[in-house]
Amino acid sequence: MLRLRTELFPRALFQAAVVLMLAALLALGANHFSADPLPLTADWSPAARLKSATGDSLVIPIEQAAAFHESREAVFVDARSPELFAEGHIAGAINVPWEQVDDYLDVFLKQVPDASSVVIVYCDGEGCSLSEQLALMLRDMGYPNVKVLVNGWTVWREHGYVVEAGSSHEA
Amino acid sequence: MRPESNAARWSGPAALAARLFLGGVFFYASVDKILNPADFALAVYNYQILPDGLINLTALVMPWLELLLGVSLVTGLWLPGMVLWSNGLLWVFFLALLFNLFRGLDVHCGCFSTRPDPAGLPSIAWYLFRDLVFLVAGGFLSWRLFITRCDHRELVEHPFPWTMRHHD
Repeated sequence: MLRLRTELFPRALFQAAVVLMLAALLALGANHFSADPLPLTADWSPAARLKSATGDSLVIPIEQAAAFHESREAVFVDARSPELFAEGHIAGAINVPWEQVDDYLDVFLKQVPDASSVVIVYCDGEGCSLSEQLALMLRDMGYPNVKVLVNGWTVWREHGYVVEAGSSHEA
Repeated sequence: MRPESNAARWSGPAALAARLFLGGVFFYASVDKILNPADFALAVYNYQILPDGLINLTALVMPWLELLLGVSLVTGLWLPGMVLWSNGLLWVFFLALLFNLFRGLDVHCGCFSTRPDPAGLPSIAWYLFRDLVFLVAGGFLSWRLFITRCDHRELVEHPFPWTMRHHD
């Protein structure tokens, strides 16, 4: 006959609570003495994250990005996968998938030889970090005018700006 | 017929294997996250589930909890509480992944390493499948611990059968 051992439950809950407290003590202690402690709470908004990473904001507002697009003063870079890019992207954007960035950097350098160009990197979703990482990398490579359009693909479509489908343009 | 003793249910080869497996998984999962809390915090943020105020705290505490779970499962210390936590965490991970699968958010799970694998990310489906395997081990341990065929209560006190004297 099978029986649920309910007599173990209070002990299980007690042990679980004690272990959680122990883990918290160890975590806070280790963090306190760490050379690079993590603040216990932080501002996780995209602008704040980019600002803390770069010292000045990387984020470009959608209206400004659209203005650059209309005047053709900026290069738009899609950091998502080639499959998503082929399904649809901001018109004229070039695809530099962050996951395969090494394979696509040559294309980028060929298409954007002028390091002073305004480059607007985007991916999709508020939490998408692909564009942010790619933007920081391009900055390190000497493109100072790199901006991130947060949640770019979604916001762009919501505003009804020009999109297109198909694979990456050949250089 | 003499019923199988609780200690045998708990420390027989299958239960011991499940404990070592799950303990090893938790231990392994904790190390990189303890060493790189900021990167793990970003992984937690990317799930887009917790409020901003809880992200860093979770990223700090959870890896240490996993470390303690790993050590406990392997050594057999405080098993009722540890089996409870193991299953709880595995279900939270599973539901968090499932949630993001359904809303189409492709997160890097941050399960074992805080850095995305540059050679192409495995899909959420793979993370889910892997978590399901862990859940099977966790479910098996719960069954062995919390369900009994007899009234012996020496189970937790004797996680290893060879440390126990036979009375009959």
